Amino acid sequence: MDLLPLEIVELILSSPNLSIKDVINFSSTCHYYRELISTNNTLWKQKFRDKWPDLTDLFDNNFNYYYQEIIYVHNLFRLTQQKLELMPSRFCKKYEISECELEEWTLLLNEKHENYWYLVTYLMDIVNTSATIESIDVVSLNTPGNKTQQYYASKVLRHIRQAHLLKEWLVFRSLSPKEQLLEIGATFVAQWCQPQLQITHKRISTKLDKIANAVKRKLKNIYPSHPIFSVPLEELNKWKRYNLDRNQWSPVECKQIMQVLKEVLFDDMRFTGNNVAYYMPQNSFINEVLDFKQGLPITLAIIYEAVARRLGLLCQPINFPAHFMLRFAEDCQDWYYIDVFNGGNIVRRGGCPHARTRMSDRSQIEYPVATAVQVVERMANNLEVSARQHTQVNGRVTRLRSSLELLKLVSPQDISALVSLARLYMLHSMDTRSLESFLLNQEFQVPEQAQRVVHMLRDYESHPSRSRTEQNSPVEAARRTPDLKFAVGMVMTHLALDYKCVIYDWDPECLASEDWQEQMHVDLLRFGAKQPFYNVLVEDGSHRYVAQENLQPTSDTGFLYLNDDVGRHFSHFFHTHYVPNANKEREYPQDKEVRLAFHAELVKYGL
Amino acid sequence: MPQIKLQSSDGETFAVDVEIAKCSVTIKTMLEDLGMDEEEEEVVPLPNVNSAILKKVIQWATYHKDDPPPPEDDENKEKRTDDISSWDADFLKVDQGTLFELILAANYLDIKGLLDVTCKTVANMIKGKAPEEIRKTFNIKNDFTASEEEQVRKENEWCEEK
Repeated sequence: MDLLPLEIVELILSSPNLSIKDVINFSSTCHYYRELISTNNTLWKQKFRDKWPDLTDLFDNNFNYYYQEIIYVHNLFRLTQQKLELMPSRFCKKYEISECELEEWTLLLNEKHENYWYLVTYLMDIVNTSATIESIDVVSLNTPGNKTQQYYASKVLRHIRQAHLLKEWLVFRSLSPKEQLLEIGATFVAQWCQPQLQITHKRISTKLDKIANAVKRKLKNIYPSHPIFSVPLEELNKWKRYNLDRNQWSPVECKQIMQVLKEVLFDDMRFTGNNVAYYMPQNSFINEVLDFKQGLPITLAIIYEAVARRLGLLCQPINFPAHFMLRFAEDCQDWYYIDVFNGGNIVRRGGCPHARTRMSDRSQIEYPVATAVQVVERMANNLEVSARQHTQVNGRVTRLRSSLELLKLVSPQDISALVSLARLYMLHSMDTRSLESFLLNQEFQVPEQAQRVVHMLRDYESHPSRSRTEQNSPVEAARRTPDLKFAVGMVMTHLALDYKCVIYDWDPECLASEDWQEQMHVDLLRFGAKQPFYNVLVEDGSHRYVAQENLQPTSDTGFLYLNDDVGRHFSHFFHTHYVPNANKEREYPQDKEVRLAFHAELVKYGL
Repeated sequence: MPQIKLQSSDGETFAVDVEIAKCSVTIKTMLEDLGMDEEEEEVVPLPNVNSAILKKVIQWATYHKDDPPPPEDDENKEKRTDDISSWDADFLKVDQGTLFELILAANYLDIKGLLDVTCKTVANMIKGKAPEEIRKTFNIKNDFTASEEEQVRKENEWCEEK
């Protein structure tokens, strides 16, 4: 080894085959290498980039001491893991985790600017891993693919993303109108609602550039002498970054670009309004619409505007009461509308059926150009409407909560959204104190309305049941009774309603309120209320309470993977059943035997 | 195809196709700078490479003559690859001394592909080993005292798996 000059040793150690630990081990062989390696910033920079390639893309920091930074990140990850380990016992009885219960993570974010990116990287690795677990026994929380760890990591991920985005939103609001690009607002909404994805404006912007370039290529074939081809790059970049105040071309040249833009977007790339599944939340996410070419009027219009702006055209968003279109005029005077949802059709002023109101048959109302903030508000409203649809039950509560919390941020005056949010928090026994202080610190047009919500929240917080749920009583092990046939983790079908579900809790007999029993006609059951009742998680994401006589084990099981809440109770799926996480196992220690007996039977009869 | 002659440090000459020799940036520059006429059979002296190693280098370069040119060094490029082709792996089944000499030759001759693959081979000899095993593999003298070694172990705790 002494033969090799230092730069070669450095080259060897920077090989991607060698992990950070390998390099550390090599440097621990003697004084000489220890000294040389620990101070070699180029080498550690390379190691940092190999280990976390995404981070390099996300922030272009250059550290003076990459070695120290790598140690810092390792220790931060260890701390993160320790914090995650504490979550299952603390939160396993809660459907939703409140903002204030994750406060410690916000503090961690504030310690250092880069922490947000580090934590996001660590948590995304956990949440998005494709690892599967092959074990019939309870596994430790940090096993890759452990659904319990993924469940809590995604809660934290959601929390820190929103804490970060909150700051970004304040920055966005304070920008000048010239800088408030619609595409940035749309990216913000997409980031807020899809915390598990790494969406950056840089990547969205690149995709928009590509569309603009496709238009230019086509334009070059048809109108090779168009002045756009002699515009310096600097100018083009300016259009990309700032809203225009007028078209950059003569009316004829504008028409030429418009014609090609329409062809490229709607004929070549086939962007289209999603009429089939209008309420799918994905229709509001610019990343999804760019990939799948289907969306809501507003998302499509934002894409259209962003591409047109890159080509020197001024399109302005107009919020009609029941539609969203862009306004355009070749000469910046004689405006008409572009209906991006319907193939970019041109609608003359007064011709939009959605824009007409009873009052204004003759005297046309001029709808003002919407600001970027108003456009984001409208997107948030759309998302709330979409989350209220019952077509997709799985993950619905989280979606609704995210959309209402987004409204609270972007449209803080919207009292009805705040009432809905308060109701949602109360329904899921969440902590409402942060919402209360928000209401108290916000100025409202009708302060009495806000006051009423505050009173409602105070009544709720002071209710005796609240203090009870706050207590972290140790979980007692459930004792099985002879009547109990099934066990936690088993996958069942409902005999009458034919849905599939997994058992996550049981009572030896029905413990629901009398009202509930009456409503559900428990007395009409063969064995009435005096039979075991099971809490089950249904394939559509709902939770139900079912009598034993209505359940039957099934071997048809794959679908339940889709269910977000599975991780609260189970770590993974094993061939025929779900394996409880450590907490659930402690709560139902005697269930394992029953579960395994059913497993053995199913395996014996070839599933 | 025009050829040139390469002369090793111990005086042996090897006739090589110019195109193959040019995979060495050092030789390529030399030919261009000196305006060596490819028609004449010039002798290029390589005082830093002995004949045994030069022979191996030529063997490697001949095998890889049709490889696409190595990508430009761009540190922002996607994850670097870590694979060694099976021919290269066989080719590099040599004793450690030879391997190190090949690295030095590749470095001197500026043959990026060969330098990469030889460095990766050494890296694989380091991979997954504890410090003591690495010392044994490369004959590195441990000059830490027992207490220093304990200190180092403590300082390295951060990178231990949980």
